[in-house]
Amino acid sequence: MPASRTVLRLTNVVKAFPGVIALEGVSFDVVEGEVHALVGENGAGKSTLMAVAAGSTLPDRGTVEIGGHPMADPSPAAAQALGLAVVYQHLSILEDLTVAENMVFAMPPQRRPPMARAAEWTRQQVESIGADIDPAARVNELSTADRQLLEIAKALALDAKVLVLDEPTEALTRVESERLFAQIRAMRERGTAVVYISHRLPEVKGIADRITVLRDGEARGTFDAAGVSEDEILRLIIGRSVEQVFPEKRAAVPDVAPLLEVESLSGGNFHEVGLSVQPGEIVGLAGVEGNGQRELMRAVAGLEQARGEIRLRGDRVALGNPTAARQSGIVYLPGDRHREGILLSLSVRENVSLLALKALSRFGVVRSRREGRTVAEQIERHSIRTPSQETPISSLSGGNQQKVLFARSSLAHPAVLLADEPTRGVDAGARVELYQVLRAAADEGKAVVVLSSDQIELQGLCDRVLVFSRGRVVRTLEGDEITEENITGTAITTVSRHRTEIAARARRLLRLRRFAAGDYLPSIVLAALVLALGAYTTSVNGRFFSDYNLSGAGGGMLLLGSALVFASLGQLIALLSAGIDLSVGPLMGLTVVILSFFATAGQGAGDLTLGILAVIGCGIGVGLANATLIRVFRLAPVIATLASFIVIEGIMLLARPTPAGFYRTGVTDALKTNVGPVPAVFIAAIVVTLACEYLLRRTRVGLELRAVGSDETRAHRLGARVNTTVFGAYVACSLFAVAGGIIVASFVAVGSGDPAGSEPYTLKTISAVVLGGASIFGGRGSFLGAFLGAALIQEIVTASGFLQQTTHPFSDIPTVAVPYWLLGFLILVGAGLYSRARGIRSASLETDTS
Amino acid sequence: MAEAQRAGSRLTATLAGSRFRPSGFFAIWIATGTLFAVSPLFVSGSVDSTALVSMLPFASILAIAAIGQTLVIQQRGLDLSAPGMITLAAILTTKYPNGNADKLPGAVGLVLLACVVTGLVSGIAVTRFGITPLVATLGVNALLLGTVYQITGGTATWSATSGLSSFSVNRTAGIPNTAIVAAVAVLVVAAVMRWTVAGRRFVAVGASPVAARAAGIRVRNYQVATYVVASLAYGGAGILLAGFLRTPNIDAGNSYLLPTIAAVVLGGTSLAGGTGSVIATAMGALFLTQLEQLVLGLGGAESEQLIIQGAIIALGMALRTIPWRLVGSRIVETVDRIGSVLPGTRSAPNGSAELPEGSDQ
Repeated sequence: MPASRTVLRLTNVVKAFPGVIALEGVSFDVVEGEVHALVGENGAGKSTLMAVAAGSTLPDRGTVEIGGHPMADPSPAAAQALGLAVVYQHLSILEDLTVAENMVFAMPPQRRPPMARAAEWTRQQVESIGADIDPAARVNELSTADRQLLEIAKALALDAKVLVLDEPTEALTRVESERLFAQIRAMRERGTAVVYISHRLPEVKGIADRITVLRDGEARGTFDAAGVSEDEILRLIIGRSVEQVFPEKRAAVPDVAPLLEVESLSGGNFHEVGLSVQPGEIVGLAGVEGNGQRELMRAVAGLEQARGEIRLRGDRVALGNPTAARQSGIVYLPGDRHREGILLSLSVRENVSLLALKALSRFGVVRSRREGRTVAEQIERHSIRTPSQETPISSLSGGNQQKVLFARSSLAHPAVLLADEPTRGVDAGARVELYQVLRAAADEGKAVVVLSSDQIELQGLCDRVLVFSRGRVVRTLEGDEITEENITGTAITTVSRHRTEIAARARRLLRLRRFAAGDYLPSIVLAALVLALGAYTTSVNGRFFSDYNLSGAGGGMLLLGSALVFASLGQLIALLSAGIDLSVGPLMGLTVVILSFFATAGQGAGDLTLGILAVIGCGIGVGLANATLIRVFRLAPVIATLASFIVIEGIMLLARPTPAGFYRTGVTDALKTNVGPVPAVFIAAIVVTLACEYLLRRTRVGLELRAVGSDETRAHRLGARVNTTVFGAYVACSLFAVAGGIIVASFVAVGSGDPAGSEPYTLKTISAVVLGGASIFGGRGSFLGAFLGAALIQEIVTASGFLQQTTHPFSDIPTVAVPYWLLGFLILVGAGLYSRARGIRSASLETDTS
Repeated sequence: MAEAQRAGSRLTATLAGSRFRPSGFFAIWIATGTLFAVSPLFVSGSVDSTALVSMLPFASILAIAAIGQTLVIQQRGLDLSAPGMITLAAILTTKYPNGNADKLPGAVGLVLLACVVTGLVSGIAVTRFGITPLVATLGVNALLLGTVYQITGGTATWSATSGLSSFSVNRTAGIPNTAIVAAVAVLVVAAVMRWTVAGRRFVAVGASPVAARAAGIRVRNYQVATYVVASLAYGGAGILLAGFLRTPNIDAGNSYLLPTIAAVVLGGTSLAGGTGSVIATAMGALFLTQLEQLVLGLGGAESEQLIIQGAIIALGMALRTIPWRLVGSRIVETVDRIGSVLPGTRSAPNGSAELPEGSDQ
């Protein structure tokens, strides 16, 4: 073996976040062909250190060298170019993209396979790590383990000099873990350097050559794995002996009736689980991630549906109802603090008193002074470090935020406290305090249930530990049996078989569901509706499909429809980028107004060319203005485009206070040229739609647009040019609106500043793309769907005119109301069906807002 | 000198932690105050009582409708059904009585019923069927417009009862009745939000529906109630509008969609949900209406008024993105530093060190 060369070197890295110093001068190096483990508790700074190495976090001080080259201008792309790849613990997968698209998107240009070969290439990469994942599957269908495996396959495909694995086995079975270790050893043979982050010590001892311990943002030493014992490492990780960190356990087992009894409880992911907790007892739930322990705890809290029985002091608690659980005395401390715990935009006071509002009120009115006093007591008791009660909770450190949640739940005076990962993302000091709070709660006679992925924590804190596997309790550990080895050993050995069973069953179901949840079901439904409405209207009035109605001199249905189609294609681009463009309608009107200065009688082809250039310039300008407000000034897209909506209407009125500038017939006739019975612009609309659909599915540009719309942060971490993409999206959107405006010009044929004609197009385009199946949250949609949505809306409007001329067959209601009712009904039913098919349980519980 | 020091610390403490949030709902008060202060410089008589009395009804009706929009935005939505609801309310209020005062109470009852039904449809579409609020209310708006066409057949020619008209147009103690109604409605909603258990839970649901659910709050009930109350606000605005316009047409509510959103965002309620202020929204409505009057008073055409309004919204919102808290703490630091070099004083001990630098990271 040649003399080993250092391929990753971090020197004196310092990084502070608001309220907490994450890294205090850490140095770390990795040589060719070694596996270097980085161990430490949650919050010790491991992930931050690797984020600095990967260029996704800028250090306050310190340098990063990869492959001997200093990273001068840190960014994820720069680190990747120098040869560093990361498998993140918090995954960097884009939910709205397929497996193959995710793989391809993460590759740098020289490693990217052509899109046509993407599926086959992806299959090879995934199989090379022994995984079985369908390249065509959308990522949000995958299990946690499959996502983890996909991340690993992605990083391996980069063939990096340095590979960072952040808790890679968290969700894997033993067999899958073994496969991964074999891969890691093979890479080591090839000379790749691997940084292996984990808190599973036996695993680390088995795979690593060297081990570096981090605690509280400082390196506590680097050791040869062979020459150090697990106990020595453990002592360095927690900084003192286990006895000093954890409060003393309950002395004896008193013979009292259980407080909480769970009897043969079954739910989505757990079966026939029994559990009973006495007052004063802390019971731990353990197991490999995804084996039902979390779902069980959430079911007890009423947050998951379940069958069976839960009793509190002998009284039955209603299942699947968080309010009932809470009122009977069960209080849940959420594991995902940011999502389910804190109310990020509110103050410390509002967060603390949330569960005590009723107790603090009289006749439904909260007594402010009492609230202030109570919150002050809690801040004192839990030693929450905050400048004041009114400080936004977002500016507190993770540990203090967690203490706020502890304070909140203690004000609810629970009988049962369910703590899901109570110390995740909490620094070591605060962690000790939280353990004491949990033990004190038990000593007060509460029943405490703790779920944790940290075996040391379960070992130190719990009186009893239930180990879960395949949704059942496979072992109960008591007293001295509660050791890290016993917990990990039991959990890992029993899970292997069941995952493949579940996977096979799930896959059969998925085929069906994938189509229902896909991007093309809405198109098929819309096409059927277009045909059905056409057939019905023709049956009532035979002239509906006449040449005159389709493309007659007055500007037939297809011509009107083409204008809406073009504008809707634009709107879809804005929506795909996770935005929206309200200014589409007025911009179409402005296009008609501007052209009216260049296309009147007496003006020639040269003037018209000039006019076309003017409207194109105008479209680019509006697009740039919208994107600037959104990206540079950080306005919400709705507000930014609302402002331009109003300004454009003002400009229209300024230019043409009264209708003037009649188009010469040469211009309008040219736009109305027919090919057979079909207007040329309609054929253009079809061609452009198909071209856009191809660009969206099969090219890098389309992939990047969907990636950015799906998750801006992750897309950026994967090297997407977010600003360029969003600017491009709004300019493209405006240009499509201009194209729609040019078509409108052909049948309006006069410049009018009155916005009443163009304004409705905004809502019509939004309706069209939503009917076409686009997601208002970005990342998903289809141009074909937008086309058909626009076609259906135009058909409804035109058909209603035809239906009105005849007596309605069903009753004598004036049919002028029908198109509106039909449209409203379709939007509600369509959107409801799509959201069902995609398994979004409720958009009202969506927290994903920028 | 000691006073200066104490004042400095007090300012520091105020900026660091009190309910006073310079970038929040306060900005619109400064903006509106400034606008009224400079109005006479541009157009003499633009803030005298005649001008105010003619401006206030417009601002008031907008403010009432914007209460609904504020509540929906606090619940992370955007309500596109405001125009349909306002129009329907105005039409129902005029068509059935058709001038006959005896039938007015029945018509108002009908409006309230329509509001409740509409709110329930939107709310259930959002909570039970998982439809995004924007899309759900877009659909509901189409249903409402269809209903308006169904009722009117396309044109509306009915007049409000004279009682309703005179109520909408007249004044009590010199103050337009519409303004009194708006003030009462806004203050009641604001008080409920701030001081009642239900209001505080409503805010929590808006800040994070999932966290509120985990805390045992009946999230869906609050969300459905939001749309019902919002519809009632649009309905109330529609009734007053009918009286004010006397013969409302079938597009009476159309011009209310964008101004309600503009009033909310200018007021400072965040589109991200949670905290909001109907009082600030009402100030936003007042600001927009006065701006309109001022530009028209300057002899400006509607075109110029629109351009200025759009520019103000963009500018006003862009100014909000500046981290004023940090700017504030810098100013305080500077004040402290100046204070410390003056003879006989020392820097305030509780400096602004607690403020996280770059807290928006």
